[in-house]
Amino acid sequence: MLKNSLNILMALSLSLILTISSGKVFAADPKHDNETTVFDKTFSWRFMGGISGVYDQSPIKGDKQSEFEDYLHVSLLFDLYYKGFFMQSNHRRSSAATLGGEIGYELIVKESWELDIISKAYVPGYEPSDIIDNNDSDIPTLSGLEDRGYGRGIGVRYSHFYQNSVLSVDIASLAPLSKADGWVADIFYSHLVPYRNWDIYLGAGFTYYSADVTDYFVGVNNDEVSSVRPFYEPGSGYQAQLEIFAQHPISQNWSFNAGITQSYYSDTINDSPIIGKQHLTKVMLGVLYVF
Amino acid sequence: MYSSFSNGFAKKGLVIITLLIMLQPSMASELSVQKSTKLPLNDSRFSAQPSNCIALRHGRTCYANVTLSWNNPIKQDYCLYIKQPKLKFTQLSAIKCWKNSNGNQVIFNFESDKKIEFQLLSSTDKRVVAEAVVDVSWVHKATPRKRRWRIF
Repeated sequence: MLKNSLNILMALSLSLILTISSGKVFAADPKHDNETTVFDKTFSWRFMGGISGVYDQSPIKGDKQSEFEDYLHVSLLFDLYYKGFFMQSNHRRSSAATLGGEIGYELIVKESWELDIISKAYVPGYEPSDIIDNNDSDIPTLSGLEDRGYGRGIGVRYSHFYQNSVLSVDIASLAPLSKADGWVADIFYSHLVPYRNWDIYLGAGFTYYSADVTDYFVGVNNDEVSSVRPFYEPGSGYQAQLEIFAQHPISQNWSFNAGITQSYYSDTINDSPIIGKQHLTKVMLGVLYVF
Repeated sequence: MYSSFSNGFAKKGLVIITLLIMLQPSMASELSVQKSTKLPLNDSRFSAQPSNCIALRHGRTCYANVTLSWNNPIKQDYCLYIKQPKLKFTQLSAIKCWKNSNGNQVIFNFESDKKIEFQLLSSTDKRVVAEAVVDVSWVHKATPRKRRWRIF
């Protein structure tokens, strides 16, 4: 009861902040005369397509890549920008269908920092029945488990820009748009190291999940308890990530992309009976076509 | 926390469609890259390979090892220069000079955010014998805002 009240209070506070801030910005169109704008234009768009091979370890117990398609990711990426509103895909991400896309509005744009309203999926969902179908044999820990939908949230993002780096902080509530109540705080730092025609990005991220979020995604409720799946209520948790990503031009339209991410999770997530792998390594090699 | 992309049939279709879309215009762009940079004046032949240096983002310095090759039916002394119209000939410094030659090549360490034009000059009469150019282009033509990107 208390948790629900807190979530409602947080969602209301967030809505209030966004309403007040939006009013200000509609009155004064944000300036786009610096590098923090998507493009230095009122309206712009960009379309890209990518194909990549992905080694993608899953934390879910019993789930592993097996089919050719599991290793191949195809993405169509679309960026659109109009008077501060933006819809952008994450060009590094091998598949825009999952966590790549985000929509938002630039509330304040300054030379060295920016404040946006942002909506994106902060936590990927999973469908236990699909995982079992894709696996040749049954996975007892997933059998009978309910689907977990995407953890799409709405919140604010503060970004601070340095010469070759960006630090961004998202605070988002999942309650309005997702079955997972609760909230997420996501901090990400990315540093660009240019080397000849290569762009090499070094990144570090930390995501805090409130108890409602981890309960929804890796918890086991009373209805889901089985002999191999005890009741589990994890409480709040976190994910820490380190990554290296590199891009190199191939031709006027093609670029080569490669990246590796190492993820670490809190004990509250690792101790879940649904979780099989505790520290994950993911690797991506691919090409991107810019139309 | 985890994501699963199922529906292999839809994914195969998406792969094929994407490949078709992506391959079609790429051929056109590759052809345009192959535009000739040989600018023969009289019977000289002078080429720069690659003729186009490609960087990732607009405005970025592009790096390439460019092979500058030339030949001329007349054997004499030649020098290779970067074309700089604002400078007098005496202010130019040669990339390389050859004595009594009718063909040669040199590797040039290209580092520029705009095109560079090269000139082959006859050392005897300071006449421009041939020209070649290396263009600079970018995969991302517009300047994107600084973004937060994550792989997974």
